[in-house]
Amino acid sequence: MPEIKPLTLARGAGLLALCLVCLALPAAAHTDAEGFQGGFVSGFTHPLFGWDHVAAMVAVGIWGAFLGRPAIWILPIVFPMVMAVGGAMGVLGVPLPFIEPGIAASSIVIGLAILAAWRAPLWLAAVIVGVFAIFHGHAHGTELPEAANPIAFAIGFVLATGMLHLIGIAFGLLVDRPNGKIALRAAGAVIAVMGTGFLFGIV
Amino acid sequence: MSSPGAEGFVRGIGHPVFEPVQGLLAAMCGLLLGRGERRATGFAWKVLLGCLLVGIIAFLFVFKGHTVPPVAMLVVGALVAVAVAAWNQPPAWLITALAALSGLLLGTNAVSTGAEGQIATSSGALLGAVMGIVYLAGAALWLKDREAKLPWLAYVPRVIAAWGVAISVMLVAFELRPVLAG
Repeated sequence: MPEIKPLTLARGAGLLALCLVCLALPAAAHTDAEGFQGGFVSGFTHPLFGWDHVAAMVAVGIWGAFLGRPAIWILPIVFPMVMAVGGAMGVLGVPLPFIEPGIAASSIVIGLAILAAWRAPLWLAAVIVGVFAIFHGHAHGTELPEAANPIAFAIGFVLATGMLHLIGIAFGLLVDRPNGKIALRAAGAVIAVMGTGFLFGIV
Repeated sequence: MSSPGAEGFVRGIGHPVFEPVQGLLAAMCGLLLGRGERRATGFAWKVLLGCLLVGIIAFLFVFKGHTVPPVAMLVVGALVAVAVAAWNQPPAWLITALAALSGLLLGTNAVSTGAEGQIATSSGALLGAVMGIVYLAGAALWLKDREAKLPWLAYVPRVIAAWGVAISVMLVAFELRPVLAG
């Protein structure tokens, strides 16, 4: 498998800055926005207000970068597609057991995979990420605000998830830097600890 | 001084933008046509344009201005997006089949204004849909031309298509929720 070409630090920083700009919250003067804008803001901020979701999304990006090409892009392709199936199940009221433990387990498992520098086969990594995506999607679908514009909500929700993956990938590009692997494995440990905290309701 | 029907024509051009379900299908169809092998997609383009015309004629003279349900466009949009996300270069037969389906649906979903100015508005909608498809196909081709130097560019349309799948599937659920709830 060919190794991913290292991006320059400036490009990585640029990618990270772009993601952070996209995650900026709207001005407080316009929080009463409804319709398309309100739905988009509601959908975009939905994945950002739960640390359990944020940690797992970023972890997917980091793990993908750690695994190299093509996993760096395949995992962020698999995740939203499967997550939407879970989201649809949530919207339609299809029950799914162990949602919160499943979400917490996603941070623990993927965090530990990064910590252990586990180079899982691509198919296995995609299956692991896909299974956890169902839980995340279901939680989002169930918690959907009634008033939100559905199209705008869906667009914002998917874009925010993608941005979180890109943030993880931007961090993951440190893998080619001196000591970058150590920093990423430490990040994996932090994510796994956070996941344990989510599981036991401490965080 | 404005020409009769011009207002409807301009409104029709903007239809894919103001009708996100149609815009989503047009965008995914554009990405699909931009990802295929060039010689094979030449035929798919002809099929698409033919089906768009058949669809709009059916819309005007058979369905008499009744549009297809949005859920049909969303399901086909999701299938088109899956094809883009799953294959680096989707097979020619699949591109042609999905282009035909997309063309028929986009044609039959032209904006309805009642009898007055319907043909001008529908023509505008047809042009708007084609412009959307061409624009996205051009963007996908532009990326494809640069893949030799930057191989990761191949994944950009696939990631966008994965987002398209996710949005389409969520919208199908939103459309079906009131039906299933009774």
